[in-house]
Amino acid sequence: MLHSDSLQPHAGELSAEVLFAIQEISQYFGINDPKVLTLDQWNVVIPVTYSVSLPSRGAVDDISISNEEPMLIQLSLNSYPHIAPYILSDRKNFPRARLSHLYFTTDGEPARLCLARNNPHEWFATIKMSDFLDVGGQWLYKAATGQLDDDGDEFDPTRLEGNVFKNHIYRYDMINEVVINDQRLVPNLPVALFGGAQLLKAGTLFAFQTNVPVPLFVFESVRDAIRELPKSEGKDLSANPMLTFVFWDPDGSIDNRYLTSRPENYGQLKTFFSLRGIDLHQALLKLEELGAIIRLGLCVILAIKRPRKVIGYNGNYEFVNFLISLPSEGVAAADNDTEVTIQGHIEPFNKDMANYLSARDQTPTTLYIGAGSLGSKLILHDARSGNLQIGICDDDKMLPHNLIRHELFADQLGQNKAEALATVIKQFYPADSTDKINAFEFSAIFLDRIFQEYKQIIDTTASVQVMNFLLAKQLPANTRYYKAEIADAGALGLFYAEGQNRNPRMDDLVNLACFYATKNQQLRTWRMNDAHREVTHLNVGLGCNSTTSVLADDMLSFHASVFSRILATAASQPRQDMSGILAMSSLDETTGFPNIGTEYIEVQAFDVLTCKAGSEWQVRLMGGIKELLFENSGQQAPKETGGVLIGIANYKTKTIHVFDIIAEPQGSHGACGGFVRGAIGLPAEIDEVKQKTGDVIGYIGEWHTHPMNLKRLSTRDEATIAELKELNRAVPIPTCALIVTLDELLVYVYE
Amino acid sequence: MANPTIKYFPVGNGDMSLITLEDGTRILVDCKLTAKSDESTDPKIYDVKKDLLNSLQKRNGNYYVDVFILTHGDRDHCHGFKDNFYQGDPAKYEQKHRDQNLITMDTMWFSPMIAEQYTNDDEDAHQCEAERRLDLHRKNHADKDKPGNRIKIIGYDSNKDYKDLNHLRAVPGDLVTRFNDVDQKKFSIFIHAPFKIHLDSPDKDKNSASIVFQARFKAYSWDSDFCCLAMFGGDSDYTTWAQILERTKRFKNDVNQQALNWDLFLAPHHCSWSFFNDTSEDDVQSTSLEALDYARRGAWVIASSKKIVNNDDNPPYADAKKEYIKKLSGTDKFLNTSVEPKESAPEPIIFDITAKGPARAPKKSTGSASGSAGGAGAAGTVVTQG
Repeated sequence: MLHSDSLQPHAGELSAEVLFAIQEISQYFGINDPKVLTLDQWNVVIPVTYSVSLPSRGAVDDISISNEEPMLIQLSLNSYPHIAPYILSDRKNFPRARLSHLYFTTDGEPARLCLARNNPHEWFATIKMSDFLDVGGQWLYKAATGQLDDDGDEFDPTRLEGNVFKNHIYRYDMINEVVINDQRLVPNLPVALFGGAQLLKAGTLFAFQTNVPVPLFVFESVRDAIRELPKSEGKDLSANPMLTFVFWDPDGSIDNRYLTSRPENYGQLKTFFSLRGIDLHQALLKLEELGAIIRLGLCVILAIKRPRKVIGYNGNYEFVNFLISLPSEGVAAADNDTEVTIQGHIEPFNKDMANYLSARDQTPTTLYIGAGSLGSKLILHDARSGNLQIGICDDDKMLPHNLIRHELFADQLGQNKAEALATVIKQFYPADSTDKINAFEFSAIFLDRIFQEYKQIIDTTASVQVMNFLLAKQLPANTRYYKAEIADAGALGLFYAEGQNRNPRMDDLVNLACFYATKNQQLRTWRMNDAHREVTHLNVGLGCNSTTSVLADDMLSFHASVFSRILATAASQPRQDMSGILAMSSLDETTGFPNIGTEYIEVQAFDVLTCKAGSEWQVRLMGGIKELLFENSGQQAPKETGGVLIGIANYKTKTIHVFDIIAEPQGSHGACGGFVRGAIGLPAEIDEVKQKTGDVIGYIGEWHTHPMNLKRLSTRDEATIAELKELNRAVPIPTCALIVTLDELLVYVYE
Repeated sequence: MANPTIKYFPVGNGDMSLITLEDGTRILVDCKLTAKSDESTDPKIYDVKKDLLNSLQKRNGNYYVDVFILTHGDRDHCHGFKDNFYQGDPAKYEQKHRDQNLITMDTMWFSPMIAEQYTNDDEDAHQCEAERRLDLHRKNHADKDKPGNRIKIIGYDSNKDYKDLNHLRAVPGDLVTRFNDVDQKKFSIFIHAPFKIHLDSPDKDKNSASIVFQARFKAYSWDSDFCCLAMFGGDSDYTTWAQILERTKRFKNDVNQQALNWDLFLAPHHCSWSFFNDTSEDDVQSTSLEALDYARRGAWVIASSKKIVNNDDNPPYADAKKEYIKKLSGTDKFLNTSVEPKESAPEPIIFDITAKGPARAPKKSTGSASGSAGGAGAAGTVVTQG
C-alpha cells in the first residue's frame, strides 16, 4: 500500500523553480514522465524508486527495506528552493518504529527521512539536487545495513522537529537520576515530582521549566508555597510556579521503538501510557488526592528506557513531554477528548554548557569593581563563559542615559547596576547554584574582607580614588588586580595587570602607559589629545574625564571584547614569575574605515626604594633603571656623575615612579669630589617628554653617584636639596635625590 | 564503531585491496601504484595512491598499514612497492620519507617460495625488506617486534631455509587471528595456499604459488557463523584450486571452518581463464566450478582487471566472466573494477561488511553547490577557441 495511491495529480501551476527541480529529479531517477501529486495545499510530491544496495543476505536485523524502495520527493509549491525538499517513504508500512533518523510522523503520514543534523533548509542551500538525492540513497542504504546511527553504540532519540511548538526546559541529568534510582514520591506509583514554573514572559517558544526534584519530605511545604504564591497581589510574575510529573515503566522494560503516534487527547495519552505499563488516569487521581495537582495545565513526562545511551544525553532514558489541559473540575472530569499537546525538551543553559561552548576551562573567582558600561560587558562575557563565582561592586543606579552602552535594558532602569547584573546572571543559570553571584551595592572603598574570596579583581571604574584605595589595600597573596579603561574618545583601550606580589603595581602600570607615549604613537596621540581636550559633551550626565567621554556602544564593545580575551588568557597564566601586563587595543577611524590593533607589553617588577630621610615616600624604579645607574657610576668612577630622573610623583600614594634617567646633560661636570649637573638643552628635552605624555611625565628628581661609597647625603647634597625644595614646591613636586653608591641606591625625598 | 570494509581499487589488470577492520586495523593485499595513476588527469585513471593514503591511518604523522600481504611477486601485484613503502629500520624514518608519503608496513606477510626469482625491482625491494626483518628475528634483535620490523612467513621454504623462524610461520590449513600484534575476535584469515607441492614442481611459477586466503568476518565474537567470507586468490590457477578443494575437504575444513565458502570472490589472475583451465573454454575443470559452488546467498565476484570485452584477451577473459556469472544470483553480482561505477570514471568498489553479509556502499561524499576547479581540470588542458 502506497501513500501515492491516494494522492491526486497536481492540477495547479508550478513555479519555474519547482519545474526545474522536477526535471532534475526525473533525470536522476531516469523517469520520462514524472507524476506530480498533491500532498497538501503547500506541497507536491514526485514518486520515485530508489535502488538500495542490500547486504548479500538481505537487510540487517531483517528491517523491511527492499532493493527497490518507493519514495516521494516533497517540494514546497511556494518556497522551493528556500524550503528544502524532503524525502518521504511512499510505503504505508515503512518500518518507521524501528528506524532512527526519521522525523516524528504519525501513522497516517508518510515517514520523512532526516538527512541533515541541523537545519535542512540551510543544508540544502549548499548542495545540488543530485547530491541531496544521493544522500537519500545513502540513508536507505544505512537503514538496510544497520548503519543509520553514526555511532552504533548510542540510540538516536525521536526527532520531534517541526512537530512541537512549545518546549519544556529541564536538565536531563536531574530527571534521569531520579528515574534510574526509582525515587518515587509514594511507593506504589512510578512517578516523581519536580518543582518548576510556567514561564509567563518567555514568548511562544518556551512554556515550562522544571528545576528541582520534590521528594516526599518537602512535598507539602513546596505544594503549599506554590498554592500561595500566585495570591500575592501586585506582583508582576514572570513565572507561575508549578509541579511536573515524571512517569516511568515500573518494570524497567526496554523499548527500542520510535514513536509513530502522537497522543493528541487524554484518551490517546492514557493508551500511550498503558502500553508502557502505566495507568495514567489512576495515577493522576491519586496525585490529585495528595494535593499535587495544583494547576490545570499539567506537565507530564514519560521516561522511555532505550536499549543504549541516548545520543546527546548521559543516560538510556528518552523523555517524552506532554501538557494535559485539565478541566477546571479536575482529573476525574477529564474525558478522552481532553486536550493534550506534545512538548519538546530543551536543556537549560548551564555552567558546563557555557564552559564548553566558550572553550573555557578556567573561570577564577572574580570581583568586578564597577558595573558601568565597560564593566557590564566584561561581567557578562565572563558569566556567559560559565563563571558563576562573580562578585559585582557598584553603588550606582541604572539611569536612562546608561542605555547607550550598558548591557542592562530599560526594564532595569532605576535598579542598582550590580544587583541588576547579578539577577540577570542568575536568570541565565536556573539549573545551577548561583549563590556565588554576589552584588555589593556600595562604593568599592568600603570593600574589606570580601577580597579574600576572589582570585581576580577587575577594576573598570576609571576611578583614581578606587585605584588608590586598592593600592593601599593589603590584597591576598594570590589575588591579581586588573584594571581596564577606555581612552582617547574610544580610540584606545588600556588594560593593566599587576605582576607577582603586586609588582609592578597598578600605579606603576598606569603611569608607565603615559611614559610609553614617548615611544608609542597611539599612546602619544592619546596623551596629547587628552592634554588639549575640551570638555564639550556634558549634557547627558556623563563624567567629564577622558575615560567616560562620548563613545559609541560598538566601539566600547570592541575594547571590552579584547579585554575579555586578555583576561581569559591571563587567568590561565602560571602564577610564578608573573610579569605585569600593559595591553592596548586601538581602533583608529581617522583615515576612514576602522583600523584595529592590539599591543602587549610585559612589564618586569619595579625596584622599590624607601626614603632614607624618614619621609613615607617610596621611589619605584622601572625595571632596568637600577642597572643603568650602576653602569653609569661604574663607567665614570672614580669621578662622580649624575643627571635627572624622569617620572611622576603622587602625593596621595607618596610614590615617585621613575621611568627613565637623563645622564650628564650638556654642561655637566664630574669630579672625584663632586658633580655639577648641567642644564644646557635639558629643559627642552624634558618639555618634549612632558608634551608627548600629555603633561604627565617629566622631571622628578636628581641622581648622582658616590663612587667613594659615601652612603649618605654629603653636605653639598644637603645644601642643593634645600635649594631644590624651593623650586620644586612651586611646581609642586617633591624633591627627590637619588644617590648611587657602589652597591646601593639611596633615595631622599622631601615635600 | 564503523563496519569493517573491503575496498577493491581500480588498477586495471592488477590487484590492490584494502581490508579495514572495525578497530581500524588496515590490511593491504598487493599493490599497484603506478606513476600514471598518481599523476594522470584522465578521469578514466583513478588516483589510487591518493585514495590509499586517504584510507590509511597516520602514526606520528606517518602513514602506515598494519599488515601488507603480497600474494606473489608479479609486477601487477607489487608495482610501486619500492617507491611507496618505507624499507629499512623504522627508527630511521625521517622527514624526507614523510615528505614522500612513504607508507610503513608494521607487519609484512612473506612467502619464501614466491620470492626467489626476481622479475622486477619492486619484488626485489620486497624481498630485501623481508630479509632485513627476518635477519632481526634470527638475531633476536631487541627491536625485532617493533612496528615496521614485524614479519610473518606464509607457506613453506624454497631454497632458502627459514626453519629457525618457524614460530613466525603460518601454513595452508592454519587460521590466523593475530594481526600486527593484536588479537582479533571478529576477524581471521584462513590460509589456503601456497602448498609445499609447488616447491618441487619443475615448472614452478609465481602464479601457481600465490598466497590464497579466505578473510573471515563475524558480526559478534560469539557468533558461530560468519557474516562475510572473502576469498583472495592472487593469480592462482585451476591446479591450485583443485588442490585447495582436495586438501580443505580432506582435513574437513570445508565443514569445520567453512573454509571454502565465500561471499566475495576476487577472480584469480584478473578474471583470466587460468582459473578454469589452461585449455579452451569448452573444457572447464570441475574443481574450479565446485569452488564457485561454495558461494553463499547473494555472493559477488570481483574482477580486478581492465574492462572485460568479448575478444581474445586473457586476462581478462570474457568466457571466464560468463562462467562466474553462471554461479551468481544475477549479472549485477559480477563486478569489474574498471567499469564501476562507470567506465569513464572508475572508483574503488567498496563493501561494507554488515551482519547480513557484504553490502556495496553508495557514494558517500556530497559536493557543494559552489566551488571551482583546480589546476588538474580544464585549466591544465589546452583549449582552442574560435
